[in-house]
Amino acid sequence: MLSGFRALDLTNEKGFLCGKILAGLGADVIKIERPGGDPARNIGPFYHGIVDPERSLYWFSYNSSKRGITLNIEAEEGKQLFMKLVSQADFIIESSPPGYMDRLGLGYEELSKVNPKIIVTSITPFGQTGPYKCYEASDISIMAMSGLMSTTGDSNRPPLRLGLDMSYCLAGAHAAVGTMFALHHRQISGEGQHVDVSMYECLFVANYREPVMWEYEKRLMTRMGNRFSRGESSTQQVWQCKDGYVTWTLIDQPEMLKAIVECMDEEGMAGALKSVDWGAIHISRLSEQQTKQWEKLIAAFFLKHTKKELQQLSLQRNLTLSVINEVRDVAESEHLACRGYWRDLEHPELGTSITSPGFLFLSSETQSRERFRAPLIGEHNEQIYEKELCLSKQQIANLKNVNAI
Amino acid sequence: MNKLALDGLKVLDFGWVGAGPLATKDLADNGATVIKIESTKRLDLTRRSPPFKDGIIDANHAGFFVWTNSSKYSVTLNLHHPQGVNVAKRLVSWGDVVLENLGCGFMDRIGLSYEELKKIKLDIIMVSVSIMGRTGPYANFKGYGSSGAAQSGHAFLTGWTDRDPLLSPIAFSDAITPRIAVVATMAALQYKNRTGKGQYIDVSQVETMAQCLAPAFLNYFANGHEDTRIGNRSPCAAPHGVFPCKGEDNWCAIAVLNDLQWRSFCNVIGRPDLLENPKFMTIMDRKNNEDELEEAVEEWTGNRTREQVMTTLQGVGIPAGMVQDQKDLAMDPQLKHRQTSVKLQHPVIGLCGHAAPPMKFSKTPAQVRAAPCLGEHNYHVYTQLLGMSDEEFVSLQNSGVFD
Repeated sequence: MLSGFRALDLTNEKGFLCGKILAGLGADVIKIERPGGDPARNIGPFYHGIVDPERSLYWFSYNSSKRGITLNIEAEEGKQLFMKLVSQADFIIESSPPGYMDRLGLGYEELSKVNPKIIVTSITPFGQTGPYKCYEASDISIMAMSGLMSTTGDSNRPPLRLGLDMSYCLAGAHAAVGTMFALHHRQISGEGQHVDVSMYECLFVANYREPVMWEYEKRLMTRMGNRFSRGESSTQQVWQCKDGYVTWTLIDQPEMLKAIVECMDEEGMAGALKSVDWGAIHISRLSEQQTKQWEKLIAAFFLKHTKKELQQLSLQRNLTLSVINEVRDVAESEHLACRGYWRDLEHPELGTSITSPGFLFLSSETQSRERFRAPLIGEHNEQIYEKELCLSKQQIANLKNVNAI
Repeated sequence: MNKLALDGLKVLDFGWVGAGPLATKDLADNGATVIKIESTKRLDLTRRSPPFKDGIIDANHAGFFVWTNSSKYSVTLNLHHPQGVNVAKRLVSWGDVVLENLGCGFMDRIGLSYEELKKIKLDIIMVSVSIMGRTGPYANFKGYGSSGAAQSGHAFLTGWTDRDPLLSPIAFSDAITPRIAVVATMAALQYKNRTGKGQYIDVSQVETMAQCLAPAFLNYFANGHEDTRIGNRSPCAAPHGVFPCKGEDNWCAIAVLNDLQWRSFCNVIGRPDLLENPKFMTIMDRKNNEDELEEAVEEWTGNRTREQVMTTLQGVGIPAGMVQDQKDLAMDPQLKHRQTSVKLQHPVIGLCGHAAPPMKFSKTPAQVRAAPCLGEHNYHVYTQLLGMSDEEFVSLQNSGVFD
């Protein structure tokens, strides 16, 4: 869908996903790393546990389908080479601290002189301006500030972070949106622009309705672990089953509640639930005691069955239950296999291929597939510098000498 | 008025609750004309859920709807009325993009499948968002945003090591997936520009989440290792966690990511002795003695406010962020500076908060407009955009087509 477009990707781990999304859509995304490789190559997990910049599964995950070159934009010669690349590019994606690119003379104003069509997407923790613009951030620290953590976790323990680096992924996804919007505008107007993405704001707007709960009712949601707040009481969301966990909750859907009670009754486990008229009650008006009584019966039923059984039952009888999948369950999912989700990406340097998520979405017309594995350090230096930019071997040797590439 | 990035783009929003409406909101805030198709007979969950302005339980007093649906037009249309679908088809012939996240098969059942839409407009772009996707053995799966976390493995990977998986009240896949749907829509428009062809796009919340969780899957496929919950710790950094500060339920997250930061950390908290302690020398050492390490950190944070902890550590370049709630965020100086929540005049509620896009465009700054009342734009859309005469409009209205 985006073949013919080229992106220069200067990001660190806080912005990888943006370029990966564009690359998966067919754009030629060139990952630019400093000579020696990006520090993010030290983030694990590692292939076979070998801590090595060419073995980082984290790097593989978020940089697939990108080509890779080394370039030192702080060196004068590196800067010039960068400008050459910019003149032939559509997008620049970068995640350096605010002011860094400007100080190098590579800010948006300068770059747009070289290429008025260039779209520069900057991803930073807090944005290019504002009192926190120079704050350092890590996934956990920015998630803490965003409001997302204050409602996540148990009441008797610290607030919890969501698994893996979700704030980086969210910022990357928003950055891809911004880049595409700027592209749309450019095709009508002919002009590029600067897109300033703030990870903090991406997280803040991901707060579901907590902001309006405060604005309208001055109510703050508190951490309730796996219980779901409901008016007078709360309902359980996560249940143990025979071989793991499922998620389900008492919700005002009389048809569904009738259905689950029927399922329980077929095994003689419905108990007091059998006589409840679900159309006549409101879950949010039940007492804590009543809710817990009913949940005890339901818990016993779930404990008797496996994840697979409960998922099947839910599909057949519309119970709105979901298995809580472990990594293995997802990897071996029949559903994802049918969808052709997983793709083996060749790693000739490792003598193997690694199965990876294969696409972002399905389409009737085009493919959004992962095409090849993440690049090795400087893997495409020759291809891009010699063949595409037509630099001579001597010029390349000189550039290496001054540590420009 | 400034130009906006998506001026001229025409979108029909058959979405409900989260994933669908958030996608079209991004488009609307940036200038697309987004018509939300609603019905008095089937109110969006966000129009029925608290909070309500002044406690008035009414479709137009619902704050959650406002927060999720800025800048859109709203029409009411009864899709179960025989003529309702005909009107919908007329809207399709006006539009460039149709986006929906309704139950599996719903669009097909009412006669608005992609095949049908193509007959009206050959190059229509239709984007469907669902938990599991529209094909495959689980295509019929009914769920909510947190099903995305459960199905994708994210819930299993969130929580304490010694406790159950945590299903966060934040349906995170409802945050990521709409943006992928938007990117898909924009890419499809690019494709249409080049080839003249539309397409049908099927976006699954589980599949987009799994992309974000890719390191866990690669770890499984390449190493046979099954990741599990690690609380607030990190496999490659220590100290890394959320630490108690002075006062009830006051916390600050701290991440010391490398040895340089460790040095700064020990010095600024007045504990240079920790630098000499062999238990904490390297990252591996610190991981091996993490309980003791965290006690030392807590000793320091426990005597300070969360603000002090955050500003002291930020002062020496260490990622530290205090845990904030909505009360804090309503006064947050950075969000204020960036105007991330903007107060707009809503016809019924009055001045109220609307979420702005989390990014700034230098040439086409977004313009957030107030969320619509139910059916607010019926007359405008049906007569001005679709060209109905007043007579036809009134006749259809009287027949209940616009219920």
